[in-house]
Amino acid sequence: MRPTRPDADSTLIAADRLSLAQLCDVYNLGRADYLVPMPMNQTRLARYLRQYDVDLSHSLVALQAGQALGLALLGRRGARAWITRLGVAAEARKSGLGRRLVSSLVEEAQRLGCAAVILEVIRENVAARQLFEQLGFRATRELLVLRRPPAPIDRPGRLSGLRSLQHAESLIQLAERQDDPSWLTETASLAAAGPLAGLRAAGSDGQDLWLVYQVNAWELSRMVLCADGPEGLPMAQELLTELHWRHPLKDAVLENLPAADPLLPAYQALGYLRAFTRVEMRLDL
Amino acid sequence: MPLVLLIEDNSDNARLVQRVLANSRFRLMHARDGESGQRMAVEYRPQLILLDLGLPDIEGQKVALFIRQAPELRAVKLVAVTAWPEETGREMVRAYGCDGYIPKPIDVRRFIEQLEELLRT
Repeated sequence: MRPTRPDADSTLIAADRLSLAQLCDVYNLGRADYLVPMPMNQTRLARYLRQYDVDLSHSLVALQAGQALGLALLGRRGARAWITRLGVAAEARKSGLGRRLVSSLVEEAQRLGCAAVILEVIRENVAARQLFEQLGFRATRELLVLRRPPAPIDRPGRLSGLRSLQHAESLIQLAERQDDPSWLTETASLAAAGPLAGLRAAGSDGQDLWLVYQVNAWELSRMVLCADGPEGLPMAQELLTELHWRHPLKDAVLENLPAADPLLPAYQALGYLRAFTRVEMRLDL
Repeated sequence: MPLVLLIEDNSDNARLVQRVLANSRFRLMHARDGESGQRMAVEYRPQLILLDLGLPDIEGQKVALFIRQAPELRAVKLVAVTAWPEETGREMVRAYGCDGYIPKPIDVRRFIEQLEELLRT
């Protein structure tokens, strides 16, 4: 992508013209005083770009007097685009740089043939939400980020026909998912995140009952829970009980569970706490 | 003089804490990321750790868990310093074993008093 709309004060350039270290610096600069800062080192940023299909050649960095002061990344999947990691250094705010970055990415998504652009914003970030609304984005739903610190469980899950799933089986299970995931929790994101594991049980009336997740040395994450039917909620709670019974020392992080998800009470019953809330927004092109 | 370990990646925030504590009875050490923070906590065993939850290498919550699980750090006061929405921030840091919560930006007039109070409790 060539520089877009250069003016006397600032220039937008394609993000792939900067090194990963430079991108980290400009991202962390723009997020330093953010509500939930989420700073990243190069390892984390590289993982983020890969997992969420971020295309640096169509992402933007804002330069002022040769200094990188703003960043906005663009992810692409099929005919959808996703704007993420938007940030402008404190000294360059209120100059219209954030607006230029977002509107340029929207134009870029349009040029690439995308039918919609999606983004997420921390619910309390009123200024950013107003900017996105002014550019035509509409809130579609609230997404919760939940956490559960390690805590032992006094019994395993009460489940019949329980069996563990390996990565390949977990992916097969995810192909049947009926939920409406966000960009971060789509199967493409999960598949790119590393080995998945799962649990599957037999429901009392033949209902679908499974849980797919990721586990590493410290953490359980990326849980996708499927438990439909009238007994869905108590069965979901039993699956989560089994998961934490098996992993009593792991911290658990669940990103972007829709606030209206009917299985939210199962997580709450297991001690998951709301860390913060994002608002998902969409612009149809 | 109580030793305070500040685990904070943002150099402006770290400088502000350094300035506020410059003429106090507290000695300050600074770690710029979670990994060095964990290492310094074990090596120097401070009385108080001020922990930023948003770190570039390891989540602050993971650092809190490490500190709480390290037997040699059992007595340390662990305080989260964060800009997280207060509604959820307090409950969250307590769940991860923190003894206190100081919202960002820090109140420079009250900061030393807050640390004294945390050490007393």
